[in-house]
This record gives sequence, structure tokens and C-alpha cells, in this order.
Amino acid sequence: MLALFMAVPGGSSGEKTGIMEDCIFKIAKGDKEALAELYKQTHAAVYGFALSLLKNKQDAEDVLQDVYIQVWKNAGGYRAKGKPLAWLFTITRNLALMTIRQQKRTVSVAPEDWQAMFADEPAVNHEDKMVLGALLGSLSDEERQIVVLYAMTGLKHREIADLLDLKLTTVLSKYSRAIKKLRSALKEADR
Amino acid sequence: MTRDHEMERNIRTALEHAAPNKLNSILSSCNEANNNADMSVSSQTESGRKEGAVIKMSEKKRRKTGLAAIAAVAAAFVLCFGGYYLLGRGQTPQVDSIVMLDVNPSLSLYVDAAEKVISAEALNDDAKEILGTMDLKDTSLEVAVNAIIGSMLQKGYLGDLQNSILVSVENSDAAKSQEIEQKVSQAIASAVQTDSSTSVDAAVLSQTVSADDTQLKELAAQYGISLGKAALIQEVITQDASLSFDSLATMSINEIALIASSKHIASDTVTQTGTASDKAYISREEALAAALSHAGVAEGDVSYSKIEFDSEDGVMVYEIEFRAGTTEYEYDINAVSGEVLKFEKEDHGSQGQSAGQGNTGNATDTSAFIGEDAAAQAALSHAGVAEADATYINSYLEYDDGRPEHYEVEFMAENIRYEYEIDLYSGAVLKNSAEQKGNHQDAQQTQPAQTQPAQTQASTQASSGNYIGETAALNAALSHAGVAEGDLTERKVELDRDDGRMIYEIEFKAGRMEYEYDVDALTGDILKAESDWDD
Repeated sequence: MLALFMAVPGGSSGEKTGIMEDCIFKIAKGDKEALAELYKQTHAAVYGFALSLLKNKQDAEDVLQDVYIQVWKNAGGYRAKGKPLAWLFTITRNLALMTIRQQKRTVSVAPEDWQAMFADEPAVNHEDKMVLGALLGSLSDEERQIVVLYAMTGLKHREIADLLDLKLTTVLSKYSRAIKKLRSALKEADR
Repeated sequence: MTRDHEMERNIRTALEHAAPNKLNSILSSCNEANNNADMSVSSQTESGRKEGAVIKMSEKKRRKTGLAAIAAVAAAFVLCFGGYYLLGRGQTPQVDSIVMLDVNPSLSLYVDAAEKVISAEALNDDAKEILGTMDLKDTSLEVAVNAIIGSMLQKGYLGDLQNSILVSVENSDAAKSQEIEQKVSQAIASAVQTDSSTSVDAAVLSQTVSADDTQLKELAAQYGISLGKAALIQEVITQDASLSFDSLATMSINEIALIASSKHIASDTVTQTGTASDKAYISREEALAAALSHAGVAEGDVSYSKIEFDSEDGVMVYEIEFRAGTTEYEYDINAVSGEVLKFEKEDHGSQGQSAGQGNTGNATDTSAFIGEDAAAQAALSHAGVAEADATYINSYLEYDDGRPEHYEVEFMAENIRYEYEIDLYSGAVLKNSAEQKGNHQDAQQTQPAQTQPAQTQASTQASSGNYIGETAALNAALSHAGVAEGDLTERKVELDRDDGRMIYEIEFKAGRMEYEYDVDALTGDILKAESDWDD
């Protein structure tokens, strides 16, 4: 399949899609540098999505690692549809669901505990901790997944709806509500 | 919807900072995966070397007697020729069949024409544990299966609670496939029976699969499951359209077998002997009792009930439907804990319907709420639609985390589908949207009614008269693409909000090309243009 990208003002998401797809094809041929490049481009988004599904730092890290091992093994099965991110997130979600199912538990943790969980991470500054605390502690699962996908990817409304198997209107309204909740949670934490 | 870019940026930064660097361990795991693949190759070259060893021995013998030497050389020739013949058949020359075993550990045995194992490949971590240091090379298929099943029993992957095994055989010869399928199934049954430490009755599901099914291979790769499991799921969802690949992919073979048998799915391609164990779950009676007590319905009042296993987001549930009086109930009960995961009821005696998600634990007093009918009235009057003009009206309590949050009211009038969120106590409109249905023009507006920033309100209120219109937007895209309208085979134009501005999302096809455009709804500027070969 040949993909053409015409002059697109601010249309970098299309170019990125092309780069990512290119990486996956190279990975299928055993190119480790391509895997490293794909990891660099996408790992924060994959981690964020895994974290929003699992609500557990250690589990999310494990899933993050497994996602790229799956990509390495299964890149040959990827078919170019211009949706490499959707493919990555499907793998992420499946691995996360498997983890949840094996553990037969889901935990909900208070915002303060989330901040504590990232206390040992030198790269995570005070503001980051507040955001993570609000994100993980004050949103419903769906709201969190939606906000993270918006923040971390260039996916379109409809693609996010498809990925989460939600109605477009639900995604739009939950996004708005989630942002409101985040604002008030952060204001609260600031006090 | 207005995007909050600052918040998104903060989230992005936080997650980028929080994301661990796993690249090195990923790359080294990939090396391992490669080595495993190499191992199966090296085992083949090793067996090649063995043939060489036989030749060497014959050479030694040759020194003893001349006649024997000639015979030995002849034998060596036969061996070489035989080896060459096998090698000539393809890249992985000796593999005649692939036998896949799925329990939760998933593994593949590569087997030669004489049913000796060439190599074994673990398809997941559980299988790595099972195969461990087992050396199955050159053992007969039956011995290998016996050893693997023994290990699964010992390690608890097979037992009272999970007793189902899927056998999938891939061989270009259909008759040979079936023969191996039967042999392996019997080997499993006897391996399980002879294991004195357990009293497990295995359920063996078996099938033959084709290596040529690229679509299935793609699905298997996408979900990270074996080709055999993908084939089983495919078969199950073909028989019962209410099930999805997605919901079954994370389930174990035992769970899939239970769901399939409780839904009375009969298959021509999958043979099953034995019964899948349901000992890990509460009984059907207990599940029904949990639903009845949640609904406050006495068992004697139930006129009809249906109880089936199902997968809800990868969780094993009992899906229960029952009727009491004129009311129909639908429940999803966690099959392990008996917890109510979802319930819905519909009263056929009146218009009302209520649905919700929640736990038995927090049944809420709803008497202080305005009620579903009042909520529907509030929504209708806000929309300026008379009740008589609505083709249907749904009004129900919407729950979030088990607590009632608002009334959700949906109705349709003159091809417009309305969705409202109504406050539980005051009947105020919290949010509303209207969507045009039934033609290609899918205009849609969503607005949070409660806290509209002035700007949002202004732009949403701006009548579509300010916009250039769908025809002009499409024309702008067509002229950019250099495509004549008459050449279009498919088209879709949608008014949408993106990054706080109104745009027309346009998709069309001409010839073998697919185009996607975003056009500014006010100015007609092309904001995005993409084109793709349609495959």
C-alpha cells in the first residue's frame, strides 16, 4: 500500500503515522533499531494507556515491556491500515485485561497514594505527581482512558471512540467532564 | 467539545516523566526470542549432523571388510539422498505437521512425517514454564504430549477447575491432520487418566487448522494468541453473533468451552470429548438467586429465565434473563463472586425503562429523585418536541461507579436523535446533544449545558448559516484533490468540532483512491488532506 501525504498545515500526525508504520515493517524484518525508534515514539502513550487501565504502576511497567515484545514477535502480522497506534493500543489493552483477569482484582487508590507511588521516580517532579494523582485518583476508568488517549496521541475523536468501543458522543462528553474533574482536583490539591 | 491543551500538555509531560525506560530489557528479551527461534533451526541442523555421524561410522566399518564398505557407502548415499529429498521440500524441511496445545500455556510442537518431534516452541510465558528444560527432540509425538500434559497437571495449569485442552493440527494433508488430531486427543486423555495424583476428567477440544488462512493468522498475531485459539474463537463467534473476538481472546480455553456449551453452540469443525469444568464458579442456581434478591423478585414469581455463561470485558459472568409479571430483567453476575456487575429492567406494562450499573452493596434510595417520566418531560420541553412526535423515548437512571448520577433521556423526532442528561433532583438539563440521522449528512453538536464558557456557547449557537455548507466544503476538497464530483464512488461529509473550531470532515473515494479532508467550516480552508490507495 502506498500512502501519500499532501501539503498539510500542522498535519504532523499523518507523517508520524507513516514513520510508525515504516518502523513496524522494519521490525517484521528483524530490525532492532526500528523497534527502538517505535519505542521512543510511543512508549509514553502506551505506558499511560496501560496505567489508566491497570491503575498499578508495577503492572503498567510489566505490560509496557510485554507490548513491545509482542510487537517484535507479531510485527509480521501487521497490515498497513494507517492505524499503527490503534494496533499498539489493542495489544496494550489485551495484555492489560489479561493481567487484570489473572489477578482477579482491581484496586482503587487515593490520589495521595498515587503521588507516593511515584515518589521514588527522580524524573517525576512535584507538578507531575499532582497531575498523576488527579488523573488516577479522581477520574472514572473510562474518563481516564479517554483523556490519556487525547493527551498522548493524535488520534481523531472517532478513532478514540472506536478503540474504546464507545459512542462518539460519549467520548466527547466524557472528555469534557474529565477535564472539569481534573481542574477541580488540581485546584483542591493546590490548596 | 473544547480541548484543554494545557491540561493535555501537563498530562503528557507527567506521563513522559513517569514512563520507565524498558528499552534495554525489551531488546534483550527480543534477543532471547530470537535465540529460541534459532534453537529450533539449530535442532534441525543438529539432526542433519547426525546423518553425517552415521556416515562417519560407516567409514570406520569400511576399514573392516571391503564388501561391507561398499554397502555402507551405498547406505550413506541413500541417507544423503533421503536427507536431500526431505530438505528439498521447503525451508523447514522436516516439519510435516504442527501440533498446537492451548490450555492457558500455549505451545507448538513441530513434528516430522514419522511423528517425531523436531522442536517445541512456547507461545507464552506459561508455556515456557511448562517446557522448561524438557528436551523433546526426537521423542515420539505421543511421548511428548504425555510429558507436557504431566507437567501441566503438576504445575496446576490443568486440574479440577480448568480441565480443557485445545488441540489444533496443521498438516497439508487433511486425512493426516485428522489422524494426528485423534492420536493426540487420545494421548491427552490417557495422560490425564493415568496421573494418579489427580482425579481430573479432561475436556479435549480438537480441530484442524490451515496455514493458508492469512486473516486468521493476522487476528492471532493482533491478539497475541495461538492460531489454534484464534480458530476456535472464530468458530464460536460465527455460531453465536452475540459474542465477539475481543471478549473471548483473553479467556482461557476452559472458559471459552464453558461459554460455548452453555450457549448450545454446535460446531462442525471442533470436536469435543469430556465436559469443561465449571467448578471454579458459583452454580447457576446461586447466580439466579443473587439476581433475584437484587431485583427483589421472589423465585415463585419468575415466569421465564435463561442463564448462560458469557464474557464481559474478559470477566466470566452469568448472563441472566428473567421475567416476572410484565417486567423483563437482565443481569450480569460475576461467575466467581456472585457480584451484580450490570442490571437492566424493562417494564412492558408501561413506557418506563430503567437500567444501571452498580453493586448490590450500594442500593440507593431513589425516592427523592424526580423520576424517569419527569426527566423525559424536561428533556422534551427543552428540545421543543411534543411527546406525540417522538418515535421513541428512553429515560433511565445513569450510574457512575454504582451511584446514580443523572437521568439519561434519549428520543428521536423527525430523524433527529436527541440525548439528554437531566439532573436527578431539579430536572435541569445538564447536557444535551442532537444528531441528524438517516442521510449522509451527520450534523452533530454536543454542548455541556451547565458550565458553558461564553465562547463555546457563542460558537455553538452560531447557526450553521455562518458555515460555508457541505456542498462548498466538498467542492473545496474536490478541487484540491483534482477529482470531479462525477467520479466519486463514495462520499461522507460531517460537521464536527476539532480543537475548538468547526470543521467539515470529508471522506470520499474515486477510483482506487481514498481521500480524507478537514475543511474549515467558516473559511473553507483546507486544514488537512490525506489520500491513500484503497486495498
